[in-house]
Amino acid sequence: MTVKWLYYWQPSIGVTMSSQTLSIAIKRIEALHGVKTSRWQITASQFRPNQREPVPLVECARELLGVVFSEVPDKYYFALRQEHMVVEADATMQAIMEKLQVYRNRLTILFEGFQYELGDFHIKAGRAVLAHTENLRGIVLEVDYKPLSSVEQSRRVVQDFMEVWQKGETTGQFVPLDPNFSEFNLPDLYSWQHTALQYVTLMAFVFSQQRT
Amino acid sequence: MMQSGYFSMEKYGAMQQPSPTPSTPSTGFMGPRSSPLFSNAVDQPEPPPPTGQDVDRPNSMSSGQDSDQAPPRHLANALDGLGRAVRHIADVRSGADLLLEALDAAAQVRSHGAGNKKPSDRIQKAADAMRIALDALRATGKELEAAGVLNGAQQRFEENGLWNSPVPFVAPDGWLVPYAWKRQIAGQAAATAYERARLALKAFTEQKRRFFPGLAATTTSVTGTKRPRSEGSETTDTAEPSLPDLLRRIQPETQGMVVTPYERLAWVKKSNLKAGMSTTFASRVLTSNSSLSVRHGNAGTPQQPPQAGVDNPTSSTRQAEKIAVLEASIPSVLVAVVSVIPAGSLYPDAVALFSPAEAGGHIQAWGVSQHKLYQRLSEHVTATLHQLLQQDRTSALELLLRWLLSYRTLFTQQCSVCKHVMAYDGPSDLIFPPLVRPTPRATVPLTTKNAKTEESNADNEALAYHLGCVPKGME
Repeated sequence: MTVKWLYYWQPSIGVTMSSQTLSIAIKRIEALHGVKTSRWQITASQFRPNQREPVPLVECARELLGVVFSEVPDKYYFALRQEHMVVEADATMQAIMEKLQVYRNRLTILFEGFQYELGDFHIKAGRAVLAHTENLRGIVLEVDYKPLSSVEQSRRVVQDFMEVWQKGETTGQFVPLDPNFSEFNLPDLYSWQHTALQYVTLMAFVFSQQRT
Repeated sequence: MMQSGYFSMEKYGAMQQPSPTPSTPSTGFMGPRSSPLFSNAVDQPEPPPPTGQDVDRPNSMSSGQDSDQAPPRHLANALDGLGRAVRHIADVRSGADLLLEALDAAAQVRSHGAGNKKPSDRIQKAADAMRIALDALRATGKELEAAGVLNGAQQRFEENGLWNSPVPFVAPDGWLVPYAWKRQIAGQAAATAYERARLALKAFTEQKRRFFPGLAATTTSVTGTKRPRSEGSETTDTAEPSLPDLLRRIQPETQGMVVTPYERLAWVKKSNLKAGMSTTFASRVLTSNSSLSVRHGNAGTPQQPPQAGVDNPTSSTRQAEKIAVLEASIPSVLVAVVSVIPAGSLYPDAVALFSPAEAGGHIQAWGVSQHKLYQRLSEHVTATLHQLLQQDRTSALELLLRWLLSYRTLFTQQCSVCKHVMAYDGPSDLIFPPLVRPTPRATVPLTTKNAKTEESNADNEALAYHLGCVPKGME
């Protein structure tokens, strides 16, 4: 699978973030003759166990972070931070969890936007909103370098690409998200599990930003 | 009449299986026969107008028969009439199909016991259509005969001998005939061409040997004679170093790159097989030779496992002669496919680069990658290959492989000029890593211009340039 790198928007000091940023980013892509291809949407949710009974349940994960991708609608990915695992489940998992009521959905963030093609790069530009509100939480960029499948090989490539692409932007910059794949026992060969981990980390970051 | 015939063919076309109908007299029907039929022999009257069986008969008359005598109007009429005849024949044929269908439907209906009013209607309709078409054909035939178009056609058909080949069986479905003919003639032409080429080559090599005794015997031989091979690893001046030796020599020096030989057919099978595999599987397969031979052990051809060439050089001679494709893969970076012609020799013919994740039948030495980066890289590598071939044919392959090894830092090394990894590639909007590596020179100095680069091959490894950053002296 081809490697994806996530970038989130960090506004410069004193500048507030708005959806204007996203349109600026899109304009930049189109200036380089990027071709708009499709919409994309990724839903990241945070689950906490339902502690209604006074007796705690059999040991279960304290926190589940789940992600579903519009490109892979039949799979649901979970990242467990304490256990350092990323697992893949069927999409019916959501229905099962609803029925069982073991875990409760605390927060959900929706990442959505458009996908563009720029030569060998496929770029997803979008915004992060809190589900069921129109609260803009952040601007997100996902850069997918098609020729490569190895995380290490593509690191420098994508970094340089973003440098070139962002040259001259004063209102802020896109900062790369570098989750430690090795901590979660993920190999160098990229896969959807890597993507799940990235988005989950991004979600956690967005939450932490909100609190400050 | 003509119009209705044509449109009725269209209408029925939807109901039956498509049968190729020549719409003009100048299609393949006439092809092999139109040219010799220009003679104006005296002729006997034409037999009665043809039925649907002898489809080739009305078309054996040449449109050019009257061309040297008849004024254009006659010619136009003749062509017209012939066209009409062709369409009527088509109608007849389609009518026959329709009839057959109707009969079939009737038989089915009868067996199922339903009312058979409808099928008999269909049969009636079909029979009527055919009758009409046959009548029309007869009428057209009579017209043509009256106009003198068919004169001499019979005699011409017989006297020309038709390229000295027996007339193929005239199938009831006439369209098979010209096809079979065309194939036969093409086959003969191909066989003759091959024979002649072989004889010519034999004659030339004979002469060459006679007039240029000093010229070393080349290895290209279409006749397939076995050329003398040097067993083991010693190479003499006159005999060429063999491919397995080269591979063995290169292997320990090129850490990070794995070169795997294949027979041509085995490679085709492998690339088609990979098209169905998932990418993770494919990349794992690429990065380990042993697993490769295990997984494809029963892919069909008994291909040479690469280790065997190292272990027992004596038995590898036979398989080495069939090696035609080399796959040089740098894990996670690129896969290069090099084609060697003739099989088993040292002369690279074509090269192409692909992403390690790519799979599919297009991964051949002449193929094109899906990614723009590898496309551009393939172009560059091919240009360099030809450069190397021009300089020195025998060492071209070795130099090429060593040079490809220098691309293992394709994505991580920055350009020596602009200090970035990615940069715009010329006028296009594409962004590439540095694609240019200094081409290797042989250890023996070839030209004085390259004196500087050859003294430190190690330094060359660190040089890399973007396509737009290449310093002028290196071009």
